[in-house]
Amino acid sequence: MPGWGLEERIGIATLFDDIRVSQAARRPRMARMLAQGAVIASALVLQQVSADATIPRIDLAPVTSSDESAVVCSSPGDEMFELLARANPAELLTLLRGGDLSLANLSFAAEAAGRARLPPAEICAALTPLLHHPKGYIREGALYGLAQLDDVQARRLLGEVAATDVDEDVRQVAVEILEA
Amino acid sequence: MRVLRRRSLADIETPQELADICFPARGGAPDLSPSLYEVSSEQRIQASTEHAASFLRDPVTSTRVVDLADFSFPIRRTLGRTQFLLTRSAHREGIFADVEAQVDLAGRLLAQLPERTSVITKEESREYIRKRLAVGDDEWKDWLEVLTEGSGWSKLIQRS
Repeated sequence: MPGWGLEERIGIATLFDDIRVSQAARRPRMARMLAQGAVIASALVLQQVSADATIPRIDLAPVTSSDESAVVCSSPGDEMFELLARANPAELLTLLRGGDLSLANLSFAAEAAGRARLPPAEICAALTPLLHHPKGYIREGALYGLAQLDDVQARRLLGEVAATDVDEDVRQVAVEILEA
Repeated sequence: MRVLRRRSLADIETPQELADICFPARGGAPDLSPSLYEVSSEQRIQASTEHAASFLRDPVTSTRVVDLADFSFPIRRTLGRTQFLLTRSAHREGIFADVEAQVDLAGRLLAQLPERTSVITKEESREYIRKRLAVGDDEWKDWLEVLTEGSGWSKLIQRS
């Protein structure tokens, strides 16, 4: 496979821009089509990024129409993890556990993990260690991941963080999620 | 002003770390033209709320924003992609030659972080939306029309 350089990455970033424009213009069909292309392109880039690490290659699961309609770029910057959460959620959890992500990406990947199409218990298991990470913004990312789960264990974990985290901002995030 | 995706910044120790949080990569590439809003301090709540509402972040939580005024880096005017006039017209993009330029800015910001950042609370956003809806603001009425039933935003507004 040829190396993925800046041009390919800019191309993908442009795809995501187009998705956002389509969403803002309320053209969901166009957004879904672009998202499907972005899923494949992003996964290929992630494969290449992790080619030197011990992460296995990504086998893209077929993107169903219901997956497509659920693709929402909820906030700028997290598109690749969001899309991976839908295209190959097990691989996203592998990335979370692998220790190869930068600190910021670990936080954003944890948030995206909440949208993975996996049993909540499996996602909770992957996110729980991050709730004890020394960096508050990584614990915060794990909270946003747990927030997506309609699950008793996730709410219990959120409650624990709301009561005990050393960082007031992290505690407050957990409280607000529980109130939502 | 830049809207951050993380509220907790207390454990950030290095300029690189702050740059990674302030200017996350997009689509696998460094974002060398990050979005900003050129607004007055009185418009912070409006801009932050419009931004969050347009990108439908759910669940709704408070948002940390950072004031990047007077850091003397180039910006350009671009049309924002929100559903609201202020944040469409006040949208800017920072222009950075490379990641190092962002880290340099983050280094200067890190020294002033407590004074330069603030939290727009969920309650402030809810109150702002409630007021706009109460006066029949067409932009917010349009926004309300397409809210998904049961979404975090929907619940927030119902509690207003």
